[in-house]
Amino acid sequence: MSGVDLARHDVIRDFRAQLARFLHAGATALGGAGGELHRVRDWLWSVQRPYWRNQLRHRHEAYVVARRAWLDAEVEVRQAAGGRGARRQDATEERFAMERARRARDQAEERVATVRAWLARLERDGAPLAHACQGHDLALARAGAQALAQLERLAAHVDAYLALPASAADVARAAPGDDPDDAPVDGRGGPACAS
Amino acid sequence: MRFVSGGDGALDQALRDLLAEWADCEAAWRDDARRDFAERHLDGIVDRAREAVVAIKRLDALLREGIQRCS
Repeated sequence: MSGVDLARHDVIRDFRAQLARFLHAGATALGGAGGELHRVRDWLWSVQRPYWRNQLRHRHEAYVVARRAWLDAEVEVRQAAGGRGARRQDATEERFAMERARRARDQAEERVATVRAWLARLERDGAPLAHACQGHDLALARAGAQALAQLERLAAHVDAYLALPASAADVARAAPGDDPDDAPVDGRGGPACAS
Repeated sequence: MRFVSGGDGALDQALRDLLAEWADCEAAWRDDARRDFAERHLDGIVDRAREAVVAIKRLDALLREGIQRCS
């Protein structure tokens, strides 16, 4: 490093602290990405998938019962019309009940298919994204560690410069052509210096 | 139940904070070492972080949609 031109002597360490905070936030977010994918996949596989398969079985059974009731009611209506059984106007109520049961069963069927499709999609699209996040996490950690070390070296260099006696600092200061009136203030109240 | 932590927003905000701090830093640190640090270290970190934000946002959106569709 050939020169130091700082308006505040702690500017490098302030930025270093901010970079450290950024790296911590990045590691937390990126490091957690794979776990989030795993939790959602696990929830789909072990909670939603059995839940909707169970619902499908129950709702199909309910539909079969409702359909049987409707068919029985239809027979009763026909028999009533032929004067052979109890009087029965129609089987509308049973038909509505059967249609409700069929819709509920179809919904469960759709959910089973949706959960299956999303399990495949998370594998196809989610796993590469989680893998990419992991790669970014590692790369940022590596580059971040180097950047933090470099900032520490630069800050130490500034500290060493500020620890110089004023006369030595004056000798080390200011590249040719610097305008003294425009010079920033260093940590000792003097102009910032080149070293 | 909560599966998605919102890490995409946290990373995005952390990057914004870092860039804001760097803008302050640029005003107060005006020598070649600052430019050299930016070229050798910071620019790469920022580029990588932007890619990371895109990836984690896409993953977050995917997971949220999956949770919503399958609930």
